[in-house]
Amino acid sequence: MKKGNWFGALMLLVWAAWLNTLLLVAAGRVWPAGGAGLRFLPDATLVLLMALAVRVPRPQVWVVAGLLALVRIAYSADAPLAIFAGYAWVAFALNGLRRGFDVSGPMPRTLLAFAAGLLVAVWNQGVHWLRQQSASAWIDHDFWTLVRHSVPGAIVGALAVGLLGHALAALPGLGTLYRRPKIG
Amino acid sequence: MGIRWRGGTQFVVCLALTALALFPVAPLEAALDRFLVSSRALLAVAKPLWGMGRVHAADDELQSLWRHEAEESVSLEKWVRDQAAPQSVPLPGGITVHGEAVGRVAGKADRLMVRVEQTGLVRAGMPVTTGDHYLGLVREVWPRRGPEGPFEDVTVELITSSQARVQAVVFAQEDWQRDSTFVVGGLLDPEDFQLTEGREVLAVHHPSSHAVERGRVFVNESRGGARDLAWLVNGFQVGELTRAPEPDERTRFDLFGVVPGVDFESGLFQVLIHTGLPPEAQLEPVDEQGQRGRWLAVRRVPMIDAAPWREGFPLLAGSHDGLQNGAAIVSGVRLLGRVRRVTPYSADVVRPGDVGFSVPALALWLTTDAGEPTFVLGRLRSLGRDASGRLRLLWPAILPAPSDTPQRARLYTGSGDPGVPRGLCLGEAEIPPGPGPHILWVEPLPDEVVTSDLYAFQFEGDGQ
Repeated sequence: MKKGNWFGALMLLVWAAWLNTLLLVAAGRVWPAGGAGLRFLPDATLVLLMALAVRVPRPQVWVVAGLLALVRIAYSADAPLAIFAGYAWVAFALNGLRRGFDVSGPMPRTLLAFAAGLLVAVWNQGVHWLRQQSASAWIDHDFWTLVRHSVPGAIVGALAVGLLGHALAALPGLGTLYRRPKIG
Repeated sequence: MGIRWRGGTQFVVCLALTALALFPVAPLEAALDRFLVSSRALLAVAKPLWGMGRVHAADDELQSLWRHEAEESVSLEKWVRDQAAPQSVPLPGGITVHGEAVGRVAGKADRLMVRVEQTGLVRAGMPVTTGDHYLGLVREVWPRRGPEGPFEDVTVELITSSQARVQAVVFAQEDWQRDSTFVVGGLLDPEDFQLTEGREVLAVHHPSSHAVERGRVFVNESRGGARDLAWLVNGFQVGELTRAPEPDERTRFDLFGVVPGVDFESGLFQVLIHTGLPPEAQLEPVDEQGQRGRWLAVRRVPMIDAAPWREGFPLLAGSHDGLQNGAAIVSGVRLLGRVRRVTPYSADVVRPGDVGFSVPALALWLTTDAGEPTFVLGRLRSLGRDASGRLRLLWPAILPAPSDTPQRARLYTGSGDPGVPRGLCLGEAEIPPGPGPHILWVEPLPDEVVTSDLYAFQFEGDGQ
């Protein structure tokens, strides 16, 4: 692996950690008692993944997804395997789409970020509830309630990717993940 | 840097991860947690440098609320300990040893683990009771030593075990039915007796007569029998005799069962072990007040979980600081959550509002017409919160509340989890009458959001 890529990977971890910290501390201040407002909280790690995954070379999408999944695991009590699986499906779908389409424009990446945000949020909650077998029969949420609760966060995340995607991908140190080295 | 997988390989990897997420393999999850310890370092590196030490101690109102809850908790603790002693049965002669339930033997729900402070007195075969109720016999005794001195972990084979047996007699029609003796032990299907699922029914074996259909069942062991010390608790209750509406499908005989007066599944907190030893066998009395373990001051990172549907938060303390999996996190005497996924330098806290959070609990009645001051609820499991912030706790109600109307109560933790000491406040709720399961809607405590003055319980033994 090239030296620039190692640096890029390290910076990706650092930026993802700081973005998560910033967002989660701010959310903790605004909604200290939790509540419905938190539904608007996007998955910062996934936002960064979508901003980068439409730009990095296709083989690197899996690496970026894996690294960002590690960060997400550090910031959540969700099951690590559920997080890995969710991010893996996002990487798989993006890799497949990028074979035939250019998804780096603002509109496609916004739509993709919305779909990914919704998928990952529903998936993580679904896995958590399924693992609570003894209580699951009593949880009065059905699939569509789960989807409805996940939509606000997915919309905010998609807007962040659409409006700020380029800026996020251009954070110091991350350019080495997708820029070709200059010749001469 | 890059991974050049073919599309098929990528698909298989995704499917494998999905399957492992949906059907967790415990050893793999544990190994992954250990492997991912390094990722938690990110949390420590990126921790905010502001707002780490917000102190609530200066808040007079909160302090007085905490003091009130603490006083209530202390009186509750004394009352709960007293409940181990029989109320209407004279104590048999000999030394009795007090014990507190700390959990079950792994994979064996019918074996209760009890912790006793008095060492050297308990041995296998001694009968165990709680209040007026017979529970089972001591099976094993494990001497232990902790920072506060020696103690013993005692395994009790409950009467619900398929191998457990005790001779019993019926009290019915205001008289002892000496002809109606039988052996009780093991469990029957509650549906055979038209009882709700989850209700326990003890099996009756070899009844000497089928004439008596109902009555209260008491221990009636003979001296020198197979269970050589069980006679010490003759007169303690086993439960209420009941007859199934249909005869046994296999034998075509009438099917009898005994409905116990205690919740064997999750309502056993304080017990007495009857040793039969003369008082002079006790070398020196042990101060049994209080609980083993100590409190560690911990700091939370002032941020929420990245999954917004969770209420938990990370801690900047881990196993290196003495934190254990399953430990209670408190502020004052309020249970804020329990530690989960401990790494050397960080840990996650799951809170009562997180789906799946579970804790043994008891109710302290706030109304005067409820009879006894408290009631053992058993294990409560969280179903999350409703839109107004009320906690939804699933209560199996294996033993229904002793009232005809809903009664208001303050909920406190009971015994049964080594990581959670008894007497921690959960909130207030209406306790519905009648057989369960029920959902308890717990009002949030005033000034529930506490970000500092946090303590973790450091306990002896294994957590959940």
